[in-house]
Amino acid sequence: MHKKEYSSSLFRGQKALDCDSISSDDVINRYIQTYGPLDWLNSKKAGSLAEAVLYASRYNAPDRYRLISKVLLQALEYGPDYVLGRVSKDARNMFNRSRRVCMEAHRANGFIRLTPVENPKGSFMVGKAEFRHDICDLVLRYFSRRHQGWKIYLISGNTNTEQAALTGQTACYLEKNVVKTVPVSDLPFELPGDDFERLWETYYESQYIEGRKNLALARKHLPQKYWSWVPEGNKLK
Amino acid sequence: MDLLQKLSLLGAAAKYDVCAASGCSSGGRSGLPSPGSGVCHSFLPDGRCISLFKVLQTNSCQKDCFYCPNRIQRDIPRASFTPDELAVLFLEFYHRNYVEGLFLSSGICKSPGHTMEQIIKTAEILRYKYRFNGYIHLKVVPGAKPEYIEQAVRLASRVSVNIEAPTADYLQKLSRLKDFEDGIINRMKWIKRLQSGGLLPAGQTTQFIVGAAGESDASILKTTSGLYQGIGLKRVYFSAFQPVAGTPLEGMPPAAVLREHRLYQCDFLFRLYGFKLSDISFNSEGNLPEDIDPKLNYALNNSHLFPLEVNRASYRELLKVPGIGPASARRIVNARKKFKFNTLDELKNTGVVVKRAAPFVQVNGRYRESYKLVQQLELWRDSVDHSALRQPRVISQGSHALSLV
Repeated sequence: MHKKEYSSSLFRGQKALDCDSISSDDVINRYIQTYGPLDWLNSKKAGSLAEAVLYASRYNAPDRYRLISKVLLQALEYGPDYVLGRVSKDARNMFNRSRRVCMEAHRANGFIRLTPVENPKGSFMVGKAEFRHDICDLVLRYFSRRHQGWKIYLISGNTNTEQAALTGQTACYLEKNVVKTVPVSDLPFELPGDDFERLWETYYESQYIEGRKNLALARKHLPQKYWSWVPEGNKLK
Repeated sequence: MDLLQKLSLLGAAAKYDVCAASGCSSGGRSGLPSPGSGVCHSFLPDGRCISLFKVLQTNSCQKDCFYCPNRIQRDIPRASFTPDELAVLFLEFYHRNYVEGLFLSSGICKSPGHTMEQIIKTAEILRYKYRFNGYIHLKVVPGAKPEYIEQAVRLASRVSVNIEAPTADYLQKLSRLKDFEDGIINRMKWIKRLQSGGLLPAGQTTQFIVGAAGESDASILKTTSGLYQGIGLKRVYFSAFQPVAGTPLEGMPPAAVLREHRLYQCDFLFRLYGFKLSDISFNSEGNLPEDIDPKLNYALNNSHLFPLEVNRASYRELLKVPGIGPASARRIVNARKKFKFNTLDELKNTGVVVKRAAPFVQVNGRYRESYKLVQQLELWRDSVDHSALRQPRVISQGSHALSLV
């Protein structure tokens, strides 16, 4: 939670909140007393709303939790369809944020290039990425499912974070389903080079149809931010 | 010939094939997963995405297709991948996250049977030797025997037979050696029968070459509609004809990409919007008007159906309104169970493109008459037809008279 957001939140003044000490039944009963029957909380609609909330909570903005609580209150008051239908401006905003987070994760899944490394310490896949939103764990989980038996490391060159400023480049990885970070100098392998890029660029060039040239469309789908992620990025300049 | 040269040659030979891992659900009774749609791994300077490793097993071909860069009479270097070589190369691309799956086609080398054997062997190596469980799209070559088709269906996530042209007569203009009914349509029917056993999680598709045989859009869409209804195809793809030097059609002008785009718009109307062929309007030559999208054209030609009251219209009716898609129509129908729409802004929040929809909807009895259709129309038109502007045309009478000034 951002400092600014924290200072205006319900948690202000509390050092920590123990989620295990909260009874969800008590919370639901309190809501029922205020808003009447809430059968939809056990329906698929609640699942869809929870998913949107999950992604919106990863959106990089100081007011993310404030927006989410506003939308959840609207859901309690007017029902889930009102919010899922994005009728209010807040709901629309929250779903737009959720969509942007999903979009970044989706693009990361497509555009991150991995390089395999095998040594006596194990089999590793290394990629480079910088995320605007909090999606590192989503991307790591995606690649872990895709490449079972390989340990995935994503190196971030993002120097905006406090940690990166202190330690230089860091790599994140999953350990027992939890995201951990490590300085690049402590990785269990040497950073590999990959000659395979030449094969890829040959293939990439072979697919181009001159008669259909449409750079604007290509740049729309593969924005400049991602050009450094893919070897062929400079061809869209 | 080294690997790099082969890759360049056989990649380029497959570039006119259209494919996407779209329109498929995850999983399937066969146990072969198909990816969620739309993971694109790169984009070409022509705006097309790369999601699959699209390549030919060989560019040697016995067929004489007049448009094809691989036709037998063309004097070009020929190359082939061995099944092992291709399987390993694909896996290298896949592991590095360059591609999501394999799209494997081939020229017809020696015989359809021999070609299918090579394709199937490559897929078997991937599935059984390397335990690759991802997406594989195999092309079934025209004239392939049932036993090969059955094996391809067992191994692939999706298979396709290219139809190329809408009728046998048009196909004759593209190839003297291809048999429309037996070589293509019958193969599609066999695949449909095999599919009913729960195989092919991503279904069966096909592809038209647009503009090479002088066919009209109406004939293409008639066949497309028939293929969806009769054979249950998952997708039909359209590839705008591009002349290739050294082929009999090299002097023909290329088909406009916009024509391909309009055909795709109709295809989406068939699949997702519940439109029928009779809902689509064509010009006197049987082609779709290029300057207006087919859904707006439908609305203008059926102005007696509009404006629709968004608080009462059914889901199907809402889908016919320009600017309202399946997602926004569903949201409107769900939201109005407890809520009445009062303003266009509320509609906009649900995802409706209000500038397109406004002339065709009423919101709680109110109709935005200040929206002049002509202003809207000019926004939608890709190119302005100035001659039409000089000839005023009243589209409908009454309180919502819409006139082209």
